[in-house]
Order: sequence, then structure tokens, then C-alpha cells
Amino acid sequence: MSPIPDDFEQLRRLLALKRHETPPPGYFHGFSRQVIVRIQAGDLGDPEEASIWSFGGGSLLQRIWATLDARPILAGAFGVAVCGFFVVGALISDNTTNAVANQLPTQPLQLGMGQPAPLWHNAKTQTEFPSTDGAELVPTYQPPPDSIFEEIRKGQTPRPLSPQSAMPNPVRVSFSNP
Amino acid sequence: MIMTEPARRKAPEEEQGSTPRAARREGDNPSQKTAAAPPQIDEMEFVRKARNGNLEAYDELVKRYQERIYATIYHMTSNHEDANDLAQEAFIKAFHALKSFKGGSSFYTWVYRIAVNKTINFLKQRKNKAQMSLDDLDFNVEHDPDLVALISDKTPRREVNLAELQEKLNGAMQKLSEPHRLVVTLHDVQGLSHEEIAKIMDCNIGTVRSRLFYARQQLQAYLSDYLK
Repeated sequence: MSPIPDDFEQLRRLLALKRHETPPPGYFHGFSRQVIVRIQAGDLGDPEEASIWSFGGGSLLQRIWATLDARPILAGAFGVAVCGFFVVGALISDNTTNAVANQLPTQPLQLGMGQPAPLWHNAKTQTEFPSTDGAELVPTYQPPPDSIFEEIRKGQTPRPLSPQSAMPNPVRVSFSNP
Repeated sequence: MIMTEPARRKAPEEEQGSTPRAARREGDNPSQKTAAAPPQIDEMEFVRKARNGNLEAYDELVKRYQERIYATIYHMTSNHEDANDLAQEAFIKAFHALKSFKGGSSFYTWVYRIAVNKTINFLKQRKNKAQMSLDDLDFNVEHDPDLVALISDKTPRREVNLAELQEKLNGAMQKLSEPHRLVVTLHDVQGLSHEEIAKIMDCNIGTVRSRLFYARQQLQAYLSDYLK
């Protein structure tokens, strides 16, 4: 019984050419040695798997890049999606700012039923500074009344600065000619 | 190594290694040719020793299969440097994975599977950047009756056309998808049987046959100028 003629007979003969492709002479003499040396050196045979970004057969970033590289349409869609994400984020952020600004009360917030004393009301700070001119400066912290801008707006004369808070007189230095 | 312009090298036959090439040329049906699984005498013993960290035993296993593993990867990539790196990495990975080798298949099939998976992963990442670095043709190509018959009718300048033919053939192979290229490589170039290919590719024999048929059809179209 003769075998059925194969339509690919010529192709198979042509493919036989590939069997004659051989690496350089002596290539396999050192091959196994190189493998053993790499094993002894702690090589895992898959450097990508040692990466923290590794996932499956390759680096996660490399896989994403390869996927986008191979599919330009997908890469374009990814770019549009990222841009859209930023635009939507900016719009949402703007709306949120306006909404918060509209909801802010015009009167200052009251923390309690009565008028609680400010935390700094009872504070009494005394700080002693060594004096250079013999006088001791003992500043006593007092709560400021209205701000100076508020007083101007109300038509009041700005109050003079208290002596305690006044700056010390500048030291005059005179140079005598020799 | 020559980039895309392979030159002929007259290498002594003893330097070609122990590839069962001559045996593969026997008979017309590749599935009946040699590349049948190698004898497993002592193989499991070597595997057991290697699993316990014996590098000499693993060295022996590498020596047994290095040529076939390299050849498979080379025919898939058409690049010597890539094949060298991938073959070494496949053996290293196999060594570290020996503890997971249950012995359900032969060590040969198991290593083949690791090498093939590694190569396919590599090729997926290498897309659009393929560059051929072809191995030289060996001395025996001048005496291959199939090739002589195929070429002598076409041109008297056989050497030039063998090199050109090699380049065209590899270019056509690279146009195939990875599964189709793998089936052609394992069956028509390396001479594995459908059953062995099905085990390596983890699919059924029908899939192997259909992929082989489709791949051959594509190759025939790409190489029509050389097949008249």
C-alpha cells in the first residue's frame, strides 16, 4: 500500500535546510558549564521574576508597555482616558471649592452657648530678657483689642503703642575722630 | 556569527555535536523519525540527585538535552544570541523548579515545556523588534539529497542560493504566529511526533494537526517562488 501523496512534500524538503543551521563549532562544549556556573552564582534563570514589579512571566511595567506598544489604538484610548481623568478631576475639584465657599457662615462660629473666654485670656506670659542698658524689660502679654485696621475703618484714632510693646530706643554709636 | 547574511562554514563533522540529524533524515514521515524521546535509563536517577542539589548530575542532564533545547529555541527566534540566553535560562529555571517535577512526564518533555513557554513569552515581548542572527549552515548541507534536488534545478550558483534560501526560509518562519511556528519547528524541523508535541504544548493531537496544516499552508504561500 503506497502512502498518500503529501501536498507539502516540497515544503518539507525545504524545511530540511533548517536542520543544517548549527551554532559555532565547540559551542556546546561549554554550554552546560555556563549553566552550572550561573546556578552556583544564584541566578534564578528569570531576572524579571525577581523584580518587585514582576507579575507572571515578566515585569508588570514591561508588560503594560509591550501591550500598549503592540496596540496603538489601545495606547490612544489609554491616553484619552488619562486626560479625561485629569479634566474630570479638575472640574470636580473646582465645584467642590465653590460649594464649600457658599456654605461658609457669615458670622464667626460660636463654639458654645455663652461667650467663652478665649484661650489666651488667662494666659500670662512673662519673659525676662537681659537688658543691655541696665533697665529690665518685663513684657506682659495682653490681648489686642481691635486690630489697627479695624479702628481706622471705624474712624477712630489709632491708639498709641504701649510703652511695653515699644521697640527699645536705637543705640546711638558715635565715632570720634582720632 | 553573521547577522542575516549567513556564510557557509566547513566544519568537521565531529564538531557538530550529537544531534540526531542523520537519523532524522531517514524516512519521509517526520513523526517516525528520530527525535523520539531519549532513553530514560538513569534519567530519573539523575533527576533525583539533581533535586538534592547534585550539580554534577544536573550537568549530565543539561548535556543530554542542550542541543535539542537550543535548536528549538533557535528555530523559534531565528537569533543565535537570544537562543543562547533563553536556553541557559530555561535550564536554570528547570533546576530551581525540580522540586515541583512530579515525574508525570519525562524530564525531557518537562524541560521542553519550560523552554517553549519561556520562548513564547520572550517572543511576545520582542514583537516588532525582531532581528535575525542566523547560525551558519553546516558542511552536510552540500550532500543533502533533498536540498540538492530542490536547488540544482534552479541555479548553478548553489552556495549563494543556499544562503539566500536560508534567509527567506527564516523570514517566512518569523511571519507565522508563535503556536504555528512552534508546531512546524517541532514536527518538520526537529521531527517530534504529534503526540509529543501535544504533550509539550499541552493541547490535544487534533489541535496539533490543524495548526500544522495551517502553518504549512502559510509557509507554502510565503515561499511559493522556491517551491515551483
